[in-house]
Amino acid sequence: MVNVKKGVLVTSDPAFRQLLIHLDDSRQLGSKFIVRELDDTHLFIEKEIVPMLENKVEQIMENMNPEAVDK
Amino acid sequence: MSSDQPAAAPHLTGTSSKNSCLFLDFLITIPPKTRQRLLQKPSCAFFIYRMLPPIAQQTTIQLIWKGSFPTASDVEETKEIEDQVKLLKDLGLVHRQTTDGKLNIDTDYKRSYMYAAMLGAAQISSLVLEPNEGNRRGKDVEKKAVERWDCILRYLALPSEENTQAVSETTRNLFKKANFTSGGDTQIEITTFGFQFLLLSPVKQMWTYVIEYLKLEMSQGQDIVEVIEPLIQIVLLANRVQVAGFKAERECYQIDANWTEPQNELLNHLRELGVIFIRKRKDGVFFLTQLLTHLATNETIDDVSAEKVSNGKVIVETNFRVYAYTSSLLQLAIIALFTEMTYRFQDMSVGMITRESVRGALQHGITAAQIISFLRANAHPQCIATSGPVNCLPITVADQIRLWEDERRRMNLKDAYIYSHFESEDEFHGVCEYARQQNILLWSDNQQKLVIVNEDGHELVRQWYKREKSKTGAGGEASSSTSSA
Repeated sequence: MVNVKKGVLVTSDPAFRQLLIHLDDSRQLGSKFIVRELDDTHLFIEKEIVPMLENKVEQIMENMNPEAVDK
Repeated sequence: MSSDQPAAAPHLTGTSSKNSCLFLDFLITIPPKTRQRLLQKPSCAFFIYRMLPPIAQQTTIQLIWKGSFPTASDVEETKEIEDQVKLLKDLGLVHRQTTDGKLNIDTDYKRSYMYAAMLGAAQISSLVLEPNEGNRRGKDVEKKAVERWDCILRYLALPSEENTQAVSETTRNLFKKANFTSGGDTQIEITTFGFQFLLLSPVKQMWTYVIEYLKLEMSQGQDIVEVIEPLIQIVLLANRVQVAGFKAERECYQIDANWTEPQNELLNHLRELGVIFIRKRKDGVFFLTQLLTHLATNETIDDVSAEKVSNGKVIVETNFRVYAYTSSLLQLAIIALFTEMTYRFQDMSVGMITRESVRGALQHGITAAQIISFLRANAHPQCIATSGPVNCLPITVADQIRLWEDERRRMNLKDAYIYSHFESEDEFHGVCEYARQQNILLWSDNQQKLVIVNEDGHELVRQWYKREKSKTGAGGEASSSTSSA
């Protein structure tokens, strides 16, 4: 019988995909979340992890953009 | 092999227009019979000609006078001419003969255009000019007209009870139907499309309003030709407004006594837009205003960056500070869509373009390109004189805004189901092909034997499996039956 799994398809650029793989390997979200690596621009991930992932990514982006100018 | 089918994002009317003219886009969408009746009217034929792109105009003229159309000198030019011929066909201005493929100009259009060309714009509009003796029937016309237009923009940009009262019920319905506003009568909220509307150029804003009004009339069963004709008659008079030394108060036009109620209703809406001015209905006359030139402008996307801005008020520095030399609350509200305002004085305000403020705008559907073109179009004259129409917005700021937009596009998430461990090659190809046909396939790979469908697609695939199983079962029964026999 065919295997079916529910989740989320992620489409991104290769560099960002590598960041996601790094988050998965280092378990920064508490557990592994990548179900399958598909190709250079696609990943299949667990559905429950998405809110945490979005917050983490936002946090990382925030750290890359320090407030450079005083108001 | 992999395939990805991103959902098509909805576009605001005209923002992705290939023809660059919202009115022509609208004409293409109305029923052919209705459009044919427009082509029979000289004023409409003349106006359509004016709105055509230059090459389409040349093609039209040559077809009218010579019965042939221009030959191209190279491949690139050939393609452009073909694009224009397609536009003319979509508009019903030309038809291709089935026998020999020769292009023919529409006979109604040809007759109407030649009639209009002989008489000229003012005469075919058929509106009667009158002097305004002693400014008796109108004064401060231009100022009041601009106030009318600002009321509409304020209704969107600064929602409040006062601003809601300042616009007509039809305008409110129009914006709601166009999806620019949402919510009940008491609490108006601007939508993504409303934000985008605010950032359009005045030409596109006015035409968007007019076209949404025409659509509203059509949806209510109104004969649209009856409404379009006086609209075009008035817009053709824009030539007078463009004459040097034009004074709005000096002359006015008779409101045609034969105009029907829907046509007078159109007049009310043009008045609300500010393109005409009427002091009192019983005066029986209307005035032209400078804003009318917006409806007569054939704006193309390329023109935006080269647009002559004589009245811009915004300076953007390389450190992302924005200075707006204006006391207009409306303009400040628009700038505040994507800027963090920090200081406000009577006629000058200071803001910062920050990642947070720009991303806030991006979340509302405003694009980086819209923000950039808005800032360029409203740049202070000295910025343009110093740096040119493109670099008046520092290149570092423009690039950063685009980078902030790209950030949001780095990760695209879609709920999905993944299928793996198929029992046979046929099963894999069957599921894959079925998913592709049903438009639910997000990704697949022949090597790994994987299929990914969207969330809604899972149920469809289950049904496919059930049908396949029943086929196999029927075969089994047949086999069994044969064996019994």
